[in-house]
Amino acid sequence: MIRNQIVKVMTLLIVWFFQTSVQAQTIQFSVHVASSLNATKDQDMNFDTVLAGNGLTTINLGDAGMGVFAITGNQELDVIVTMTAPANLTRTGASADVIPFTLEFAYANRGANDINQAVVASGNTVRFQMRQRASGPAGAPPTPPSSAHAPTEVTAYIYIYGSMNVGMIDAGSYTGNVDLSVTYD
Amino acid sequence: MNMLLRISLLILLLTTANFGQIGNSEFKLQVSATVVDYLEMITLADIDVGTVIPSDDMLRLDPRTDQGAGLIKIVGRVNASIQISYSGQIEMVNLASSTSMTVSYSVSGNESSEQSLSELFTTNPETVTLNSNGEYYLWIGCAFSLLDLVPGQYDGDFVVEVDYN
Repeated sequence: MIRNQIVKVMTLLIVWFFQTSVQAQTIQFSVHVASSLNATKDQDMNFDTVLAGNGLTTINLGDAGMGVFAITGNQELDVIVTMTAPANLTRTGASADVIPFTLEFAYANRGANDINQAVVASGNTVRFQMRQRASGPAGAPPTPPSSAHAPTEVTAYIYIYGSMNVGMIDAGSYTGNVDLSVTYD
Repeated sequence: MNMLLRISLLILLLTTANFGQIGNSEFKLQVSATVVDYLEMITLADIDVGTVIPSDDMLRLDPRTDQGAGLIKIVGRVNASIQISYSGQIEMVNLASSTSMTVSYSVSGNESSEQSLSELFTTNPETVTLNSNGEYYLWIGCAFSLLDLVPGQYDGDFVVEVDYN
């Protein structure tokens, strides 16, 4: 009789631990969510050396001074890229002089870092497919990433270029920071 | 809450936070330019003393009045103060005989292109101010002795240097 009671207690403990283990697995299973999205800056934008009073100075799409970003992510998804830039480049050091500038950007989403494939963005925000898909009716929604499905990653390229207007200003180094926000749609 | 459950919840929190960063990213790009001062000199007229005959006299070309004076236009930053230094005296060489003659230069300047309003420089270097268009005008005169002057063409460089103060 005593032997039987001991056996029952041990059985209950085993069952309790087993149930706890099942709870933990349930929580982890719910955590499959998003694809990764990474970007690297390949090149800053540099107008190089200009004379004071030079007036309008332009870096065109494809020029050596343009800025370049590479975005790597799920080829089945779309991304939204937003560019935020100040109105002026400001001088390093004690001077109130500024250089007004305007920027544009373009993207290449056919798998190659090739300006000939670039599409010029209109405005400061653009939405595009990480990899350009064939035109036509929309297909089935992309399969969410999971342990059973790892989507193929591709790299799209962002090119930043534009103009500045250099008046009769103090000589020196002028800089400005441009923010790019990249998110899945 | 047992240990296994705590660990599981911790994994959940860490994983959720990590996915939030991956799906939405901010990146920075720097735009830069290096500006150098613009200051240019344009020769509008060379010095022209015409034809001279050897004599005991000195030839003097007044930069404020003579039409043969050289003329240089300086273009730079609006209303900027600049410093002008110039050759006070140089040796000119006869291209045929290689004989030399000493030429002394005099300079006058003004913010306008009116030669008669220009003022003779009394120091070297001289400090002047560019006008509201970023311009300044220099007239170059000279003086040399005609005594024992060998006929022929003489060559030499008059050097002007300008820089911002």
